[in-house]
Amino acid sequence: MGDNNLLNTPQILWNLLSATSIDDMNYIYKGEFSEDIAHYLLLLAERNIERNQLKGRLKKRVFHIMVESVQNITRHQDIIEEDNLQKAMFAIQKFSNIYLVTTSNLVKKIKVQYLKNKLETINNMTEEELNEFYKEVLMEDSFTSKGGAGLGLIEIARKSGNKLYYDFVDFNDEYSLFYMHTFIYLNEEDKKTYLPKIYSFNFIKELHKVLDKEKIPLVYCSVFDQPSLISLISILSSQIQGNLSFRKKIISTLVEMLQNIMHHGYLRVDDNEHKGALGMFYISFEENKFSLNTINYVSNDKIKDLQKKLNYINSLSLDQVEDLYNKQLLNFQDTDSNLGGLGFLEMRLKSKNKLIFEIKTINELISYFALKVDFKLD
Amino acid sequence: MENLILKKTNDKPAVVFIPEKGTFQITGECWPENAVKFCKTIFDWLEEYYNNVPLSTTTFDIRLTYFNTSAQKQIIKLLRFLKQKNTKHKTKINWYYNILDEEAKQDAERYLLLLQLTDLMEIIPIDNTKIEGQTK
Repeated sequence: MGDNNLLNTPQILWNLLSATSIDDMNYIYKGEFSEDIAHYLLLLAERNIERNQLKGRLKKRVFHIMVESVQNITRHQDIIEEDNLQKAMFAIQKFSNIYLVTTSNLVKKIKVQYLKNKLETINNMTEEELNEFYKEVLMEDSFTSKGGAGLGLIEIARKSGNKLYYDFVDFNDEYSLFYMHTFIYLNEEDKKTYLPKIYSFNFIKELHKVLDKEKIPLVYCSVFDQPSLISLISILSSQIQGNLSFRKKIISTLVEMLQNIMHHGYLRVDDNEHKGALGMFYISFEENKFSLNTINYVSNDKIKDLQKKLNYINSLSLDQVEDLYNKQLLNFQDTDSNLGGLGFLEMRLKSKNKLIFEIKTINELISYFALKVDFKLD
Repeated sequence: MENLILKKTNDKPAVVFIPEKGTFQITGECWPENAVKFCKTIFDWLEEYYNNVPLSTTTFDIRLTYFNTSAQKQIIKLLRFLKQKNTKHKTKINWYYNILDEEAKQDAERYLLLLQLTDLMEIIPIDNTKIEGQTK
């Protein structure tokens, strides 16, 4: 086993992964919301929607609500500049035929009552009234300086066909965290579906709290296939600070980790176009460390080899790893898709750290494989 | 024979092989879902090219800014393949790397050494701003 005590995966993330099934998705981003990042966030979510082959109208509705929600954050969040606090969150979850979008951002307390009134007004309207109200607001000149405030909320309510669930949580004397939780149903019957706990408003609020405390800005729990990798990597490339060499090391490691899940993960969807497997990826920060973390399912019959291989790589010095790497580079006997590949060696070389891993048995057939790669921050 | 032109994507490089113009370029990032499958197209084309009537000298311009480990294995295979072709048909490889990317340079030097390519491969630093998708 690896150094279990160094893995530190918060319990709530294990809960999230174990409750996510192969058709579902949990994707949480917390941090800076620029137009660029919003774009990639939406791309990744869109990819997932596409894979689930949503019919045109629903797809549009889901996408529309995501865009409005992200824009609500980018336009209306109040940022506490001096602390550089990045509390804003965007979460999209999918369970069966139901999509849920949850957002959170800081608002000045003096705005809270105004917002509450607006939300209540919207929630008390019938569908027709809402459509009328939408037209009214659209015609009115009373846009705020930030453009269209209120219209976004009305749109979310209209497109979701649901109440706007919201909450304000005290942040400090001056600010509150404004949470909004929106359901999007494919059809009426879905409203009766029992939703597992991880899709509840309370769970997401709790998750937000933990991610904040543990300095985890991104969690993606779903199927990893090449298109979702491309989106994830674009988000991260635009976010990683540091020089070219540092950024490249992180991207190289990330590609190897995520493609490992894609190729070797146990719970799989292999359709005609792409193959992929269920897993979780998250980023975490510790004192002077930045870590890439993955957890996926592995078949128990692969565990021994996996442990042996990782323990061996960890036992080598970096020079020895480099020699082994060169040797393997010229070795065309092994196929690229087995564990004899270069992926783990690359992670060890790029991070210059040991690969921290943990294997947790689930049943006689499968286990969780958790892997963490640390990078020192200067 | 037909040219080989593969469009650049997020995870695949542009491949532009136009024998008439003496153009043999690979430009971009390479970390596809299946590197073996992607590179097979390239190998098949090259095999046919060398079996027909290749140019008196075939010069490859390779500008790869990033590749994953499985693509790297295919690159090694490609370099080895070209070295072997060079014994009959003169082949040159210009391997470009971003001048700011010290590790890319080290990678190239490693290939040169491991595969003994000094006769045919040149490692050329290139300004970052010019590294993306130019044609001659």
